[in-house]
Amino acid sequence: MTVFGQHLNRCPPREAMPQEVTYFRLVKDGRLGKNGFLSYAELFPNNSSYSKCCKAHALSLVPNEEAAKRLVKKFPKAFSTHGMAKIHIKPEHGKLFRDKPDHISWWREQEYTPEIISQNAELILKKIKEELCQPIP
Amino acid sequence: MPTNSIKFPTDQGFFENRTVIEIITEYDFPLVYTFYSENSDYFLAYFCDSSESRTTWLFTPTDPSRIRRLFRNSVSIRDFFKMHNGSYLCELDVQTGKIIEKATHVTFDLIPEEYLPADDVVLDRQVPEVSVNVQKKGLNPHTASERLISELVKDLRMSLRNVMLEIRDRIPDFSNTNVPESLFSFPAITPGSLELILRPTSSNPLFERSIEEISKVIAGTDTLDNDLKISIKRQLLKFSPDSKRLYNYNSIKFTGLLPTGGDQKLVSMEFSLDKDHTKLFKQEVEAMGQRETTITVSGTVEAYHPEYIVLNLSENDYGIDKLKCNFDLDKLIRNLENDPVAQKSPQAQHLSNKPGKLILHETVDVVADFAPNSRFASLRSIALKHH
Repeated sequence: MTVFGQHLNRCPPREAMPQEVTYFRLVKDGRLGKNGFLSYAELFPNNSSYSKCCKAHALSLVPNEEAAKRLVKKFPKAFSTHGMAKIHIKPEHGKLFRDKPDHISWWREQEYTPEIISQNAELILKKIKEELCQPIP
Repeated sequence: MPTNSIKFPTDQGFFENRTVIEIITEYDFPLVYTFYSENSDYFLAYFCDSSESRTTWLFTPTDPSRIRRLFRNSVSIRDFFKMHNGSYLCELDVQTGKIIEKATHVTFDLIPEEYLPADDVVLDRQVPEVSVNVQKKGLNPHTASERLISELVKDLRMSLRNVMLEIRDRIPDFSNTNVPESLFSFPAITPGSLELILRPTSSNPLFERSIEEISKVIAGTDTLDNDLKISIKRQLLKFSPDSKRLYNYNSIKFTGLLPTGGDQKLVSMEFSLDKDHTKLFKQEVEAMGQRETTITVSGTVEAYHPEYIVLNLSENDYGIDKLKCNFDLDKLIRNLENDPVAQKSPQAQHLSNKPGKLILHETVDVVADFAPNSRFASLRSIALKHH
């Protein structure tokens, strides 16, 4: 398996493991475009501080819908147009590490491209902000 | 006469070289973090918005002890901004991360309302996982506390098996299903460690379905034996992720992945010590408390700065009470050596006499020595690592 970031020292961290799991990702404007599945290192390849940072090679995921809503609640303007996609990840798709209860870093297998992810992902909510009238646990 | 190099936050370049201390919230990039400015002033950065070309931030001057108090008291983000004497609104180039224009000072009233969350949204910190390894001088690493945990885990397994059997007998759907001896594997306690690792065996349909049934059965029927109900309640299964996986005298919590219908589900379990176990446990603790102790804390530390480790591991974030901070800084520094962006903050120098910066996601071992007769703090409260 060749995952993004592995050219860096101790990247991904040794706790990151291949897993079969379903997680969620916030997608801008409620669309499953391929740009929504690019890491910061891929989005900004000329920025050396991103290319040298292990985590910038990872894609962020949240463990459940509630965690996504908490994020939108905390940053209302920044995530005002975001929707939510459900992604079923298999062990061959890369390495994952749940570094915080509400946050998972996913160092993708290099051949598991954003195009393929966007085809496999399922848009479950077009605009998270509209769902926030319900109390969040 | 040339002006000296002292800069103010509203000066061009003041925020250019930020030394990140702790990332509190992130999503693709840090969204809330603390940092030192070039002048060694301490700030909290709060992400407001982004466009194609720029990101907008609030940088609020604060101090580490105030930040820790805020976390302890669950202060709302709005109140955080209110209680500080203004913030600095900055725009950063999304490509380079550089400040686009000089920062603007804003009091709370001047912060655009759209950037602020609702009144009840708090500034919380999700504690990263660490494992704690406890070694007592002269004792085999398999200490009594570990034996006790093993015993409790064994009890839990037996109890769950009993639940399965009970369910099989009482719920027709399960009547033809075999109950395996091992419902899921708890590998033995790692030698010299209090780490519990919970790994699922191959998919077990009975167990998966039973988990769902257990709560229904407990809640709604009288078909279960009352003692068993109490046993289940005591050794309860919780299915929501729990950020605090702490171990103390009265209860044990741990988290692991279990197979549930093809997916793996993160479950958090808690079970209490009964009176006998509590008594036994206290005796063991008292007996071992007299011995010299070495504690090794290891885990993925999300910080750029040694100060984070010293402050957070020593000040109860992991429930380690009064940890003497004789950290193995040489080891830390060895981890820093390859970092090309070594920092020279006075805080780092104070700690290590060697400026350094931790690499994000570095795994470090921190060793603290306890003098004889010190409290056996690690047994009072221990963070368990999950896989």
